[in-house]
Amino acid sequence: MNSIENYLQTLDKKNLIMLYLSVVVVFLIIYYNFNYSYLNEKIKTGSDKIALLKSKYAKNEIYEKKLARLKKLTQSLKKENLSLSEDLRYLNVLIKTSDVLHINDRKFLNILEEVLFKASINDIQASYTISKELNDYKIYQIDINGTFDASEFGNFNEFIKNMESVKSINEIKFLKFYLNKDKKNVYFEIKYYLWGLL
Amino acid sequence: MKFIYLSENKQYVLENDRVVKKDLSYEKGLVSACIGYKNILNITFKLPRDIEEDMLEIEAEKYVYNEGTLDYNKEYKINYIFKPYEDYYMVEAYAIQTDKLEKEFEKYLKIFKYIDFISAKPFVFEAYYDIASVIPKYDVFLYIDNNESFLSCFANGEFVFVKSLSRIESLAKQLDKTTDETIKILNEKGLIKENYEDEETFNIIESFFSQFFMKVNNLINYSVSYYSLPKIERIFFYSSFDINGLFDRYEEFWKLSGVEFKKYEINSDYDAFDYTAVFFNAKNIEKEFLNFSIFPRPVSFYKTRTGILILMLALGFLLISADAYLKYEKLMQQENEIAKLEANIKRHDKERKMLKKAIKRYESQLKSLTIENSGLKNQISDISDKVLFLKEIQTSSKCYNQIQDVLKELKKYDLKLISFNKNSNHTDLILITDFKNASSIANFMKNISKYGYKNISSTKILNKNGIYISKVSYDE
Repeated sequence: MNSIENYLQTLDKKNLIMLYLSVVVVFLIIYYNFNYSYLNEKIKTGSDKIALLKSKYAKNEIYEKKLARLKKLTQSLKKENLSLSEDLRYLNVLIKTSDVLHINDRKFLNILEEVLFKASINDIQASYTISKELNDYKIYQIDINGTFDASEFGNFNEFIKNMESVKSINEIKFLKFYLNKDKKNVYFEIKYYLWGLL
Repeated sequence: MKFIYLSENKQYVLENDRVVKKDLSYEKGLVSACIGYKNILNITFKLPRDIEEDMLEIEAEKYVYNEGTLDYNKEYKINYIFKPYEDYYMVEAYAIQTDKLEKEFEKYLKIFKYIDFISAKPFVFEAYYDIASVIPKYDVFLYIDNNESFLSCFANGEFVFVKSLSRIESLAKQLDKTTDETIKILNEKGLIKENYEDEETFNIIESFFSQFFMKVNNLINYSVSYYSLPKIERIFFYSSFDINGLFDRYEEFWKLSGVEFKKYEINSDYDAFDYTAVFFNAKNIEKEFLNFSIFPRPVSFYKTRTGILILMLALGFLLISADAYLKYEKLMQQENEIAKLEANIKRHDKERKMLKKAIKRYESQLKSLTIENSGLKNQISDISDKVLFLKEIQTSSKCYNQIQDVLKELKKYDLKLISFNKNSNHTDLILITDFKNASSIANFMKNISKYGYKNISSTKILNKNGIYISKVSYDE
């Protein structure tokens, strides 16, 4: 230590200041290269990485929101599904228990029998054509062509009334009657439909 | 601050104007001591008055080495006192060999490491006036201790000169005794003849002191003339030991010479000279020309160039390290944050995968539910439509009723029905009536509308042979 002090004491003021300045410069160089450049660069890289990671981190919210929306939607659809199922079940029960909404061959034949019976009671001469159609509905069709005495219009009227009062969904789709040229007989055409669900 | 004075292996501590004598031990404070005149080479000479003041010391040093017989091979601590006269400077040079100084204070330096101020004994008497409340005059102080004797002259409190005197040691030699034995004799028997059985011893002692004081007298007379002083008025006699009968014997002698001969004494139990030296040193510590110390306080490390350099290095290193440490801490924080974020992101990625899976599952569930619901709706709608359709058929107006309505109105207007043609909801009637009853058809149509039939029209009217044939159409 003494030798250093002795050496320093030999330096004049200018050289001493130069020595001190060179120490300061060395520290400045070290500071600039290590603290300012290297460490600051690392800190900046770290900050950038953190910013990038944070931006990635925020994106899950979209999925959470979407899932929440889907859950809500699913819930409402489930409720709707339940309600619709209930409605359908109710409708099915209603249909199954209904006498009117269904028709089968047996029932049709009974009705046909009754129609024929009423026709004979009411003195109506006619030919009958029956057909069955299964499309959206079960439809039994009776085409009746015939005549009756013009003076017996009341009976014809009764015949019509009887046909329309059967306990089944019925429809006289087509009814045509007109006085023959002889003005004695009335010619008629009836298209009589019986409807039922499949 | 404490002021310490070292003497005779003891230390006097001056604090708040109070002096305490203690054994030697380190204390913080200003340290001082006194060196005897025997170690000092006193050279008195004159220098021309025209020398510039800042050159005085250089010229004096030249003189001291050239004319003052100083050894060039030895180091000296030299102090100068310059007294300006009309034509010259009277220079008193006091030189002490540094190795003598080192030897003299070696024991104290082991304890204190440094001595701030070392005065010379001859100057110390200056402080006596204040301590003893004595008005300064032209005074001579005689100093005798085991090792040396000198006289110190002060003119109105200002030091003028110092001269050495015969030592007790030479008396001891004459008596063929040791210094301590001689001092013991002086103390006990002194200068009282009756105390001695051996007259020869007394004669030697008496002769020594007679010569001693004669020399004092001669030196005073010579110096008074040399230093252009008026008459010396007082002599203060100090000895570090008592000399029995000295004052009785020589008081009268000095009285006859017209000089007061007084004992050097102060109002203290401590040694009078040491006590005076404490105050002298304390008062003059700043005066470099009185200071013979070559043992300065070590300069604080931070004041040395090495210290400054090392401090700069340390400071620079510290600043860079501190800054680097802070940045390192920040980096560590960042690393922790990154690790946390990465862990969170990993967790989030897993969650996201699960979320995506769940979303997919829900979407497919949603799709199937939508399809299912749509199917259900369609089924319900289909069934409802069919049921409604059938109900509509069931509740639609009956043919029988329609025929009854038509017949009722035909009868009312006396109209005849030729043809009835109902096709689905549309009905065409062909009616006949007399020409005169033609308006009945219009009335018939009007009334038919009351039953709720719509779009009633008569599209074909034939007038043939007075018979009115009309085709009336309407919708249910």
